[in-house]
Amino acid sequence: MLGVALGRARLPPSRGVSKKARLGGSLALPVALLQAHETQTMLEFRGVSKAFGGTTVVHPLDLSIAAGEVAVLLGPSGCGKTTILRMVAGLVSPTSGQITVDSLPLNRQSLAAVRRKLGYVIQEGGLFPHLTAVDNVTLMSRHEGWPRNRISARLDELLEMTQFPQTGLDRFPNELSGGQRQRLSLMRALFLSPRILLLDEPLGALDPLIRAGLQRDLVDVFARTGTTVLLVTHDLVEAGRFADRVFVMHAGRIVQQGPFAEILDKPGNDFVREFVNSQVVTP
Amino acid sequence: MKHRSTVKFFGLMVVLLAAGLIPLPRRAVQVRIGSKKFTESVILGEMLRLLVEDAGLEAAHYREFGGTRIVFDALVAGEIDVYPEYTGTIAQEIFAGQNVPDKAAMRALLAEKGIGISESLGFSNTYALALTRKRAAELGLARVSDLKRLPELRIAITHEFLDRGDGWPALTRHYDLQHRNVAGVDHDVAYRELLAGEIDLIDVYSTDAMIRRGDLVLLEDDQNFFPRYDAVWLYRLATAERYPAMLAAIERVQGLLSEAAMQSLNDEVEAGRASETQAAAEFLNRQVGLNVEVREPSRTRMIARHVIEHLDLVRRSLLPAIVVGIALGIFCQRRPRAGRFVLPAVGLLQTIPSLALLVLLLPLVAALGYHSIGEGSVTAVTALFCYCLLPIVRNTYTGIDGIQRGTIESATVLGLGPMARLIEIELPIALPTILAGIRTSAVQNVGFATLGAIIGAGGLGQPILRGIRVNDVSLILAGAIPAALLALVLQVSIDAIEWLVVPRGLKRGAAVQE
Repeated sequence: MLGVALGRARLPPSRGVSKKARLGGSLALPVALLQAHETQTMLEFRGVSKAFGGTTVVHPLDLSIAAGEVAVLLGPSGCGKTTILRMVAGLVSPTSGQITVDSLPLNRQSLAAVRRKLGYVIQEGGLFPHLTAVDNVTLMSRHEGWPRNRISARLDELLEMTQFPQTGLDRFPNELSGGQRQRLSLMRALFLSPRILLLDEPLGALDPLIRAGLQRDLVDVFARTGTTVLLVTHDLVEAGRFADRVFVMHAGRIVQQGPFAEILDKPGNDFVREFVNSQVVTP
Repeated sequence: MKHRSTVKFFGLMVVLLAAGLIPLPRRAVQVRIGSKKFTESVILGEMLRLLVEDAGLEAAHYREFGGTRIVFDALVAGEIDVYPEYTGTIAQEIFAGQNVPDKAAMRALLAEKGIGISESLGFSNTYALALTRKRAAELGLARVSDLKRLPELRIAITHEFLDRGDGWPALTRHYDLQHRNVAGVDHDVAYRELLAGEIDLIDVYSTDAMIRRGDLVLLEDDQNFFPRYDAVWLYRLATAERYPAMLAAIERVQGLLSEAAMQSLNDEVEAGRASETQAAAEFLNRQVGLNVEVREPSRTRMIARHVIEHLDLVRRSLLPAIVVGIALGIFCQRRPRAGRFVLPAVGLLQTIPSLALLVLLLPLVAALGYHSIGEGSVTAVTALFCYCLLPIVRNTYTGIDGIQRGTIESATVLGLGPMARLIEIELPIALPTILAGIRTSAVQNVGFATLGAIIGAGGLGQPILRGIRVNDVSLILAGAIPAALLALVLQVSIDAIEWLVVPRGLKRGAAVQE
């Protein structure tokens, strides 16, 4: 309970430190409270399935993701990974089962409250073309009536974190590069300090050099905010960079889950082996 | 912040609606006179206006109505009080299919509708078939029954004569004619084509000035098909009771106009020697001892007045159409199932011919108690409104519907509700498309608004109609050029608005810096 309260108030910096510490394997800040918080389940699927018409895209799924965990749904296109993400965002509703977000069961009544806990970034950025960068990012905070100084403080904080150039703030999305657009989209998603960050192929449309730079910065952002992350990708390398836990999906089912190294070393079946091999460059 | 954009949007809509619905103040009129769109009718209307004003009443003359149906409906609906008509038309067209054996029967039928009929003005203006003297001699034509010999004749018939019960179809049955080359044209165009030798035969009114000027011969109605077309006044009995002076004014010209007198008045106007008003005034001064002096307003003044009337028609139809169009467009996008009916319905509105739409709307508008004809006519405004809708509805719909799914979903997941999303995201992104629709509507509307003239609503259509009628090209241009300029000005203004309000991010050609 205390964890929840903390999360709203001043979690971003403090949790960030703890997360980094944990990743580093050291016990720099062994605060019991934070430990308790991190083992809390942030996102849970109970028998969740989705069918469009007669076609089942996601078979009944049970899954829970801990607070602060970076979970990556990995698989080829059409495997159902994006549908899972979209169900969490409330953009499609499950055919059966129950999704729970931060102890809130997701349904029509709770939808608005659940969305307050989410940050959402998609491949094309989903930026509002008629608003400048700064207006894109601050739209919701203005909508919620934040005082101006609070908005600008949060803005400075995120500019630094996402490495978005200050000079780009007055530009419109179509005046920004692809990488800048994704940094902006990330900034917008993070602005209201979400509990869960939903990322759908966030780097999919970028060329390799820019992608690599953004990957580094994203790892850093995840660490500093300590947010729970659910990321969808078909890119093995990307999964390896981000994931605490990887879920390999095939034809609407999770066929293997575990740390990235384990997926690489011990593919659970032929499909995983083939999927891994297809993306590993062998000299 | 949360509601500021919403307030702004609805505020703008209310302002547009209000600006479109507030009518200009109208002159108080006691007797409203109508006329049809041919010179004789307009001269007679002016004559009565001068007489009624001489009797001390406030009169207005709404000229050049589209046709018998419109002007008669307007009379029955109480939108005008009096207009000149012909007994043959009353018997054959207004009471088509009913038995009207004599004038007493006609009087009784009209009285049922609250309409009175005067004695004859003195002349009969019957329909007749005419051709040039030269062609008549070549073909050896003198009587209508002679036509049977020449089934290949090129014939142009006015639309009204082609359609009416006592018109062309009945004539061909009566005389057993089998002509195939029959085209429907406008009266004034028919004359021009006849003189140019494009066609052989047209229908005319026997008092037409062109008969004398163009040296035409009329075919003898040897089998007595055409009924008598005595000119009379039709008036509302209620008005006559309220203003006995109107009836007295009507009686002052009864029996005074001979066929020859009428033909020469028509000729004077159509030859450009006098305006309808001047011709009417001269006749009255000479015959009835009136003493009116007519000062015609200058051309500039006349055009300025018509431009104002025109802009008023555009304002009152376009502004409400913007509000309703945007609302319907949003509705169609939000409720695609209903939209599948609304969009075609709005499209269908545009395909209704203008005259038909006006005739349909007139009794409806009058029944609702709105001012259906004359300046600021709600009928004209409603018709124009209907024609304006489609581009705005369609563009609003496609503008919103074409927004990338990712953009909409991002807004949704960010937590914007449907209304906030519409106002903060969807409408602003669709704005350039919506403005393009408004621009199309506005430009079209300026053209369509010339239609206002056929139900007395004035506007730049008036000089155009009059110019066609009296064959005065400069008058046609005096209406057409300002109308074209008006369309251009509107287009440029909307372009300017677009330039001001559409953010850089939605304009094409914005630089992408990698």
